[in-house]
Amino acid sequence: MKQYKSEVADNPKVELVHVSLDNDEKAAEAWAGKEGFPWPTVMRADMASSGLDAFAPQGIPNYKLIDKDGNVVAEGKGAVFQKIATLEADSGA
Amino acid sequence: MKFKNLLAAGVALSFGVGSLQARTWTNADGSKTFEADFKTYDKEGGKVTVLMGNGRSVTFAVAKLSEDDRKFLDEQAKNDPAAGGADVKDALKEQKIGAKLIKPGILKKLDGKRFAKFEMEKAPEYYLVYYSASW
Repeated sequence: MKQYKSEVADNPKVELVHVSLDNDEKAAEAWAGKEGFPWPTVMRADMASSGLDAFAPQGIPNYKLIDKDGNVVAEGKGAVFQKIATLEADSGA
Repeated sequence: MKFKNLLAAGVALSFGVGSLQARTWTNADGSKTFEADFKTYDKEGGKVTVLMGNGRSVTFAVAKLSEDDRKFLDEQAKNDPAAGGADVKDALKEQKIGAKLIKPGILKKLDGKRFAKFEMEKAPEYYLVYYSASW
């Protein structure tokens, strides 16, 4: 959450999209509400329509940085945030 | 949201993050001001989203703002395609990832404790996709 706020929320180059793999949408909503998730979420039932099923991982939690053309440029929390930091540096932010 | 509530939130900014490059916004009749960062402008829908000092994004009707503020927003939309709502949608339509995320009902976001429909407010170059579950 802290890294999201400092490195993604106001970064025009990156948006975080949460894909909830909960089968129970109410459970997903309750969890999000409890944690106060500030990011957009795709429910499991909508994963195929979102196109993000093509990148679904074998295990969770999983972080992927995907460019707008659908190329995975980093995977794993550390690698993803490291890449985002590079993007910020490139933009001079 | 009423302007007086925005004003209250803006007051919080002055005691909050001092490093923000906040803009001073003025209401339509010029009687009230508040400070917040400009975030997005949905020109088509007549809505602007600003970032308050407490980190909350607040969306409200552009009609509540002064003429100068509305001119500022129009300039932002001209200079930064990602700033305008209609332009954001156009930019997302050109993306492999974004084109699917703008389909109605795909994205949801918390509104209080409940999920509500959500539309992308920016056309990013990268998506940090976080797969997880409550269990």
